[in-house]
Amino acid sequence: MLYNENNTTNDWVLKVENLTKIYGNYTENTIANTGPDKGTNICPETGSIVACAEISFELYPGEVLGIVGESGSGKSTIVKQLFFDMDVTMGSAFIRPFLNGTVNIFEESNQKKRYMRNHLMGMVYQNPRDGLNFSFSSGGNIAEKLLMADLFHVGKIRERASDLLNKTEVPVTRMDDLPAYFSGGMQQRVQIAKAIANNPPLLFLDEVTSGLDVSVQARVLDLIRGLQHELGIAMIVVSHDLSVIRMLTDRTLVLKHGRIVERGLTDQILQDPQHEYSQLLVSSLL
Amino acid sequence: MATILEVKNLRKCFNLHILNDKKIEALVDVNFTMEEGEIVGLTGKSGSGKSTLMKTIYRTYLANSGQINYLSNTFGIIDLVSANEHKILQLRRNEITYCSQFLKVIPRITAIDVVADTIVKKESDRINAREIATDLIKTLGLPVELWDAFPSTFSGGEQQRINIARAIIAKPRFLLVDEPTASLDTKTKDIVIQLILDLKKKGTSVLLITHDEYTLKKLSDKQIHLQLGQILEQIYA
Repeated sequence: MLYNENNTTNDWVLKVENLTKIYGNYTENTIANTGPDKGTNICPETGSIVACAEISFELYPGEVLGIVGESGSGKSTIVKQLFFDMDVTMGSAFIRPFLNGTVNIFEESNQKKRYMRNHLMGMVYQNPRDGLNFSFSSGGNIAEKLLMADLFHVGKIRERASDLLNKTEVPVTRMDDLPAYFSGGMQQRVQIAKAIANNPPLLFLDEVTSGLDVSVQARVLDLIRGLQHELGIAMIVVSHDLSVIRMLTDRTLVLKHGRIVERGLTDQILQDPQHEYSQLLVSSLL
Repeated sequence: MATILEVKNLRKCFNLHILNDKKIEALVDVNFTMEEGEIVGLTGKSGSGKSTLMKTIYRTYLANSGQINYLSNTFGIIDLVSANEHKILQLRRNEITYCSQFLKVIPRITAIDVVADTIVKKESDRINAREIATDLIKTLGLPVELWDAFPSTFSGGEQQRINIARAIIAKPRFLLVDEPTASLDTKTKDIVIQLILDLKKKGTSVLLITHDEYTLKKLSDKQIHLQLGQILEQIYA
């Protein structure tokens, strides 16, 4: 028997279809008027900005998917929409752990969205200030996430928190300190501890290593890789750094002007890029 | 013996859009077959398309046309040119291993863990995996003081041994190996050759690129000579 089909199988954990985010008024021509072929993401008719459009992909259990592209190409917009930080203009997404992936998560009530956010997803932002509450201690930050995921026993919360801080190599003795007194790399690791506190099946990482020095960067990468090995979390890694993408991801989407211009296995994207923009990106690598 | 790999009319042309659509014909019309448990040596000058052929089989490169029918354990016969990415990833995890000339690893992971990682992915426990890894790098003669050091600081030959160790530790069904003995001394070369022969005994099929006559003679059952992206001749040992 010869396997020759390209149609996808059915065991995804996350499926995104036609995800679109437009700022401002738009007409039915807006999407056709923008994109990499037109060289812009601003609609000439209405002046609206198309942050991302027609984004479709699937994420499989335990898989790490990379999203690369230049600043403003819509990388963060995608994960922020999936984490409900941002409203969507059009499109749908399905996650397997929520009603077996039968409903569009964007059409659910706010209560259900909070449930998904707290129980099924984790997010690590580029800036720790977006992910951490700086007026809580680092342990308190982790506790916040655990409380939202319905764990109320203080002893158990502290136990879990010190467990997580251990795992992310933050000294447990600093559990009751404010993150403001931590270095940037440590804040980032507390943020990762918080994001994985509820054992989410889905984790979004938005430029986690940008702005960290190389030694801390190596440690954070090693940590993420270890967590992925150990817990088998499916992840989306957003980065403009191709070495981060190479080290962490199995498959990659290349974004330009809010559209996916190329998708493929990460080593294929990095060694045999097909689209003009991916070729430019890869050949600019130091 | 069943045919494990059948390459048919394979063509690969690099189209460089950023250089005014410059085209480089790397593989023109490549046809060959490999039997299960066979070691096939790919030879030819630099630039003749050896590595391109290997990377196209591993799907790091996308072929323009043709077929690569691989007899897998998981899916039966599968065309590696057109199979979906998840199946390719699954095959890479379980059956097909590619060992490049250069070691690329996550910084700050010790030599033992780099090697062990390959089998930890398969969810066997790490302690056991580390033991197997330690045995293997011991066999390859890596100095004891380097076992828990970071490979990015290693010499060329030491890095190459780490690279080989992590490729063969999982005993893949199909091994693609690019210049495994290039920067090794004669003694270590013999060890690597013996390890590959041991794998063959256990049923692994190997596609091998080498410029080294000695390695080629010791290992290959069949040689395929490439020139300008085409097969010039096939020699049976």
